[in-house]
Amino acid sequence: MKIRKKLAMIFNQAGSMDLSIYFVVFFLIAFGVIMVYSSSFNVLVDESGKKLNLLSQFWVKQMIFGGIGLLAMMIIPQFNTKLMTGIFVVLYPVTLLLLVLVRYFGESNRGATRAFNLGPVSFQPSELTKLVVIITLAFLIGHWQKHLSKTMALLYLLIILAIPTALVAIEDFSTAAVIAVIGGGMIWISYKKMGQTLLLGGLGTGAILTYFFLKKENRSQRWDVYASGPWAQADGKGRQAVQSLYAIGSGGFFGRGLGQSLQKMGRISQAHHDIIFAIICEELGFFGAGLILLLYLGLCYQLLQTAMNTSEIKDYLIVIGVMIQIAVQVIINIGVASNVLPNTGMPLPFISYGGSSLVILCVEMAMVLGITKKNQYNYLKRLEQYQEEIEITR
Amino acid sequence: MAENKKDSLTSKKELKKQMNGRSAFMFFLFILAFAGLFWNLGKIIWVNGENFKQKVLSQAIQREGDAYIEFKRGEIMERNGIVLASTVQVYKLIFDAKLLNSLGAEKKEAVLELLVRQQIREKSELEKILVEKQNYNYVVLEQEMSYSAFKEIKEAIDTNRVSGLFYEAHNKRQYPYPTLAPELIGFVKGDNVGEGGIEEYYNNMLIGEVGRRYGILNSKSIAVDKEVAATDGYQVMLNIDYSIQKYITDAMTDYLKDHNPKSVTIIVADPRNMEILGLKSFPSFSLDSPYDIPDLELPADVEMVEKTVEAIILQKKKDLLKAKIAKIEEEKSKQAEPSKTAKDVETEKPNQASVSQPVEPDNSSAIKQKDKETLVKMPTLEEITDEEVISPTERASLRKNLLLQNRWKNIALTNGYEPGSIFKAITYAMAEEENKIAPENYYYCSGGLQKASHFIRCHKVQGHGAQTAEQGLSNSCNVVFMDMGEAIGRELFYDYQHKFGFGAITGIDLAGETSQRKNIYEKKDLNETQLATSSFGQGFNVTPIQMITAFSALINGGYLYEPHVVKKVFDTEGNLFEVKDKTLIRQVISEASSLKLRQTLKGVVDEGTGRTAKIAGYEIGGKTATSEKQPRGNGKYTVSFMGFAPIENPEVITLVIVDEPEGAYQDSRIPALIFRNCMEKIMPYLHIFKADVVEEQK
Repeated sequence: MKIRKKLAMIFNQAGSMDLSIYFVVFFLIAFGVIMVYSSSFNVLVDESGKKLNLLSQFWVKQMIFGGIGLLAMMIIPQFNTKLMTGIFVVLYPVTLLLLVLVRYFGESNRGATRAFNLGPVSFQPSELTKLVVIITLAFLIGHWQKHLSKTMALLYLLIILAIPTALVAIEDFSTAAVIAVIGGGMIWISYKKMGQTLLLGGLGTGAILTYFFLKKENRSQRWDVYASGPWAQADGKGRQAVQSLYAIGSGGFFGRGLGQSLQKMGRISQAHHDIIFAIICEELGFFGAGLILLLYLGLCYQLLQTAMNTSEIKDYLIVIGVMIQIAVQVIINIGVASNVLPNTGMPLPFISYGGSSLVILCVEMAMVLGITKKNQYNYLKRLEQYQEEIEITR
Repeated sequence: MAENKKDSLTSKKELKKQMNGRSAFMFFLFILAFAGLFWNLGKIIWVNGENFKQKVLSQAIQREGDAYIEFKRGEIMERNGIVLASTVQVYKLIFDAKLLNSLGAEKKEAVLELLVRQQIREKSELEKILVEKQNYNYVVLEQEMSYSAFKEIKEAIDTNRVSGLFYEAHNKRQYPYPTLAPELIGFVKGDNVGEGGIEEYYNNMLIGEVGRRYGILNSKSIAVDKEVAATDGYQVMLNIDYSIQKYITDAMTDYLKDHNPKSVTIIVADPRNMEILGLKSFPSFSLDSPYDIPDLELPADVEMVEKTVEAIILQKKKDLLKAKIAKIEEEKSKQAEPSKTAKDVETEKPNQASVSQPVEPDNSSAIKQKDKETLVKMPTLEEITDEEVISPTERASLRKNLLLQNRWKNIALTNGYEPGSIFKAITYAMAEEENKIAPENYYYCSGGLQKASHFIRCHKVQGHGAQTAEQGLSNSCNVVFMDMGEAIGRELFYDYQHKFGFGAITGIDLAGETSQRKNIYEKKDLNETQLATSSFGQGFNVTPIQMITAFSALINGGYLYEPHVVKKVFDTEGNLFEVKDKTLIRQVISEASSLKLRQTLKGVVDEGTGRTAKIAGYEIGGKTATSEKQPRGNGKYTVSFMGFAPIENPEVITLVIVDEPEGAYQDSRIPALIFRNCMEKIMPYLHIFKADVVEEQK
């Protein structure tokens, strides 16, 4: 009995996870690897002109990270969700430390110091921050669920959110915005007084974001380009936006065909990163891009359903946090690609190249999958109870 | 306890309900956002799809930056092959400080070390740049590096792929002897456009065809480079001889050392075919810095340019005045229109008016009033200020431009001057050819001659007395030539003047030649006085090149050739493309007359006014000229000397013109001396031998 209890603390209850979510993610990752392969087609050489060996080619790296992520999505759900939650809550101060350290020990790339260089891979603490913020906030809200109409609780939560957001915002404005939206959304959903949340949260994030927005020259330049329209500087600062629009427009309804993009041949720089959606549009057309959009929407809907089926507030909020993150990143990424939003680097979840982003997202999905497992267990238990009740009444 | 638990359960249920509602709302917002993005994508594809497709295709086959391949402008050489102008590739070295800063210390160090080793910058300076310009990708370290200096860095960039350094190659026109013959060679402006001289006249030969590098899509939709190489320009070989050009440059410099004339022109040519062997003028400039001339503001130039500027401003003012008046009138007619309709109403009245005549005074006063109105309203030329038509900066730049243009032009081709006594040789030739030379002792100079209403003086006030025609030329007596001109007559004089090429361009292959047609008398204007003055070379203008061309015809047997500077043209591969042979325009006088002239002109140097030009042992013919500049009596002269050698078969002819020589004596001894300094070196160089024996026999 004692051993069983201990085991129960480590492992999740019996029950199977939601395979539909697993397969959607699996499909997106696989599709991502293909698109990364296609769009990094002309960057198979390194800075000095040598052909990259297989292991350092983007698509291979992406495949490895995808494999790690998929594996994590199978293993983590087997462990007790409560335990995992605890681990990530403990990681909160560690993340803050990493965010500070990355400024001094990080590797700078394209004018920003965002990642630690760990040999063949680099690690972006800002991606980890998303995960940690989601889980920490969910944990705290679940913990304080009886006090969710007290202003103090709201203030605490906002502070917990604001510190990592501010640290991320120093180097990466758009990621900070995403974190703020995730955290803000979670607080808004759970905190009882909507007006207060909106007011305080809006004021706080607004102030922080304006400060950082104004601080960096580079960003306001991007803003200028966006405000004046990319066509004004089609060969200069607006080049990426214009080329991205060309890619989207030239794809037509069914695209040039997989692997047939012309824009990836040096017109769009770093096509496998943030502008990958434009290449998807060019190669697969409106139709293919639409399917991908629908897939994301479906995934979000599945997550919403999962959240609504949870029995614990904490679990509920974890799933909602993940949903917000995926939806917001998709919206920003596609918005940038189609020049609705000013140019910024935002990975398209599961598809864009980037190890940190992919693995962290997979861990988040793994948490969600653990919760689905719990949900099913609870569902089965309730079904059993229900049947028993029916039998008793008989 | 159970109560409590139930309570918390209900509160949890409530919380969940709230959360469900709000997350559903949030999801709804996401759906909206997704739908918006979806709509926008569709719009991009629907509205711009086709257009963008074209753009993408055209982009894909056109590579960035290096779409055009520069051609190499052809070389200009002097007659022995010494290169006077060439095009070399120079390299602009650019430093990517931003990239370099982001690289590891090892790579950074390697780049810095390379730059220090190549002596581009000191290490400390480079480190300073790295700090100061850390956000710049484009820091120009060197603008123009020659290939030899750049070789190693180029190799490092091209083959070793050094990061943080790159270069741009472009062509640059180089003039190894920038001050040797700047007006004659000319220079290249911006986009391979020659300005002045050979560079302008032979621009079409010197330029090549740009090559193109473009992409085509192969079957796998991959853009592949295709290259059409540039065709280099043709090379041009001049008749100019470096040594001769150097000799005349030296002689000129020597003279200018302690004199300050307004201008000096020296032309050396081969009279047998009118190949221009040397051409030099002062004031000049350097081809290294045609826009940056230290002595640009010479008082004479400034005076002339200011006048031009004033004239331009006056013209602008007049135009503005015209426009203003037109505008006022337009407005007036607009105002008049409504009143016109008022008049139309009164159309019945004219009948009455015509009947009642006495209304007249009233009518006239009305007209007067109207006149007054117009008078008051009309602006005048004086009212318009300079600032209205030209801003001070515009004026300054106009002035600078005019000054530069003035300096760049080749005064040997463009500036008209009164030929003065040198023209007497031409008049002599006309008379000789037409057998109008009077018998001996016909000519008598008493110091001047009455021509129509004017008494025209000879330069020797007391008169030369009785002379032969030869003596007249030797003494440069005006009276003799007035008589000769009268004997030739208006018709023939005019015809010969034009036969010798005056009043028409010589056709020299240099840019900017003027004809001076308007500065030479028309036949109908050539009355007694004008014929008389023209006979000794005053009252009309010629250009130095016209003068030397005509004079060459005089001494080479009577053949007027087109002067030419270019000898040969070679094509891109160096094959001979064209030989510019002598071009005969016409024969003006007979061989016999020419021979007579040569002998007479020898006398001028031997014992006449041209004695200063005599070089012991050589047979030289020549003629001096001193003409007082318009307006007469201002003490400003143009002095010149035309000389040739040898007498038997002239191989070289030299014209020296000094405009407004400053100093105690302003006569033809100045150019004669310069001529002598030139010829002392040119004749041995051209293997013209001394004729001592002949000299002694005489």
